[in-house]
Amino acid sequence: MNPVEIHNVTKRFGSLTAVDNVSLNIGKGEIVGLLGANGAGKTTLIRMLCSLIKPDGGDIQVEGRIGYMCQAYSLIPELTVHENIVFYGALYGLDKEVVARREEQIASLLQLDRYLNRQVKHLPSGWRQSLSFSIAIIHTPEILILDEPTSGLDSLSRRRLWKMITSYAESGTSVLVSTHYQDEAYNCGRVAIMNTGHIIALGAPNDCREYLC
Amino acid sequence: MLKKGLLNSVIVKEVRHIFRDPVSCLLLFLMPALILIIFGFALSFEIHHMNIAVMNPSHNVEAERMFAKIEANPKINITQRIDSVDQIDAAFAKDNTRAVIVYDNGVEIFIDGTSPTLIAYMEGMLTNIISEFWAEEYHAAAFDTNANAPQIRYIYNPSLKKEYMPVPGLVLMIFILVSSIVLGTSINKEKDQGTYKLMRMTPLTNFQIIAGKSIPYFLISFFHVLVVYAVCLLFGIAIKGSLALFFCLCILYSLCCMSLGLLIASLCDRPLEVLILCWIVLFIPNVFLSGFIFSVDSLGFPLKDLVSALPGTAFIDAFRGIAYKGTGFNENIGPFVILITETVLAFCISLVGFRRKLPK
Repeated sequence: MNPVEIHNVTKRFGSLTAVDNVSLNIGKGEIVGLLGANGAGKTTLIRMLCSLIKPDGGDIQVEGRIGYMCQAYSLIPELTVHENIVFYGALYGLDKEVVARREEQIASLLQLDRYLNRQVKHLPSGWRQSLSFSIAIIHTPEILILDEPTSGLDSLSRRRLWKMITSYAESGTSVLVSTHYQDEAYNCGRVAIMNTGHIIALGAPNDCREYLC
Repeated sequence: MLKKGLLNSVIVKEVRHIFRDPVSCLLLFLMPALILIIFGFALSFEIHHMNIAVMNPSHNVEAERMFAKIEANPKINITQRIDSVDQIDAAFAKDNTRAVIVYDNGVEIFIDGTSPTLIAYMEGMLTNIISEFWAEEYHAAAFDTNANAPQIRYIYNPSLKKEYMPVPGLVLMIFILVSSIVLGTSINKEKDQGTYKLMRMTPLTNFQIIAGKSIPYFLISFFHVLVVYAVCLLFGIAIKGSLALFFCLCILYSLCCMSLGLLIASLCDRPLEVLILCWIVLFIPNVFLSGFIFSVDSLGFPLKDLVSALPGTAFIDAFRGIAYKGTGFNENIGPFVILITETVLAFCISLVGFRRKLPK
């Protein structure tokens, strides 16, 4: 069984069908890109996967812990980088020692060491995104769900974040990443292209080239 | 030269903006309407209804005629009869009694001195009725009404210290500010930042998130209560009743304000909406209609019955009872029931609201 299995999932908001009969599996260590224009249904599908909203139909099976990084940074601006990491580590039920060890690993991996004692509100947006990513992986999740993580970032920061995602997936974590940057599709093993709530193409980036500009 | 079409575009845009933005609508229409109703119709320094107790230990017939004359006034209702001056405290503790008239070798009027805005009106009204009564009884000229004017005694605040009046209102405002407004906006700020959504992804339950966010605000508001208590002691206003019951009341009112703040936060998306709604729904009615500035007795039907359900009214009633009159739990059971009911109801509804309405 795959870590993530989505079968015929549908979600409606009033008369609008945001996600319509969608099926998708994500294998272990696989990066699946979810592409589509704004309003295509990517975020709704992700929110159902994270159990933040219930589907109206279909079935979602998730094997393992989920790490989630949403469109907003989801960081507490008044706290320092270190305090944010400790706070979310504690919420995931990690011991102080484990959090300290993870913080050390993540900080050196993401080069966050020099910002640890800086308040998040004074952090540049690229580093905020790195911190957001580090919080999503603080509890070593088996599944990583990233909702438009590169949105609003400059090309250098985008490249750095993709490097982190790829290296994290290599350790065996399944990754679902939504984006509206079509060039980012080529960083994924497979891509699912969504349009008006449907997956209109699913496969390797090269196989879906006709849908990618 | 300014083109007419350009100006029109801005005007049309602004009109659309106003009517489509709930915050603007609240500020532009609901707030003025509320202020108009409160200050235009509801509030006055006149009393529409006042409960009093009377005492006539010698069963004097003249005293009974005087009481009948007093009760003939549509604004006054004699709700209790007592037999001795020892029962005066108990009389004030019941039925929202504002004055006790004692006929025993002359007339004495005991007036609750903890509501200074009412004192002058009550005193004037009662002494006028009694003077009229004497004039009718003794056909004016033969009787010196001045020499037989009732003696006025201000009970619970004999020297009419002005500090008695603002204390419960101050506590009321602090709790609404800290427990409702700041807590509510803080929760919605969390929604705005996306941190609420991320917290929901952790093993934390909704209840734990809300409780964890609320406890610091509760402690801060309780710290303010201690400051107010210290200031009371500084001004020589001692808590006459049980200190434990007094703090229980403050804790309960703080919890009630928190629950109402959470309820409003659960209904709104943006911190600004919470701020404005708390201001309109909680702050203005509780400050102006709770009896802190204007007496509840100055309100007519049906507003008087409606405002008695306000948490602020229950709090002010119980605060004055416990702190100034020394009443116990039994005498304040009504306000406690109102506060507990509203706390539980608002908290449960807000939990459902937070569960159903996730941030976008």
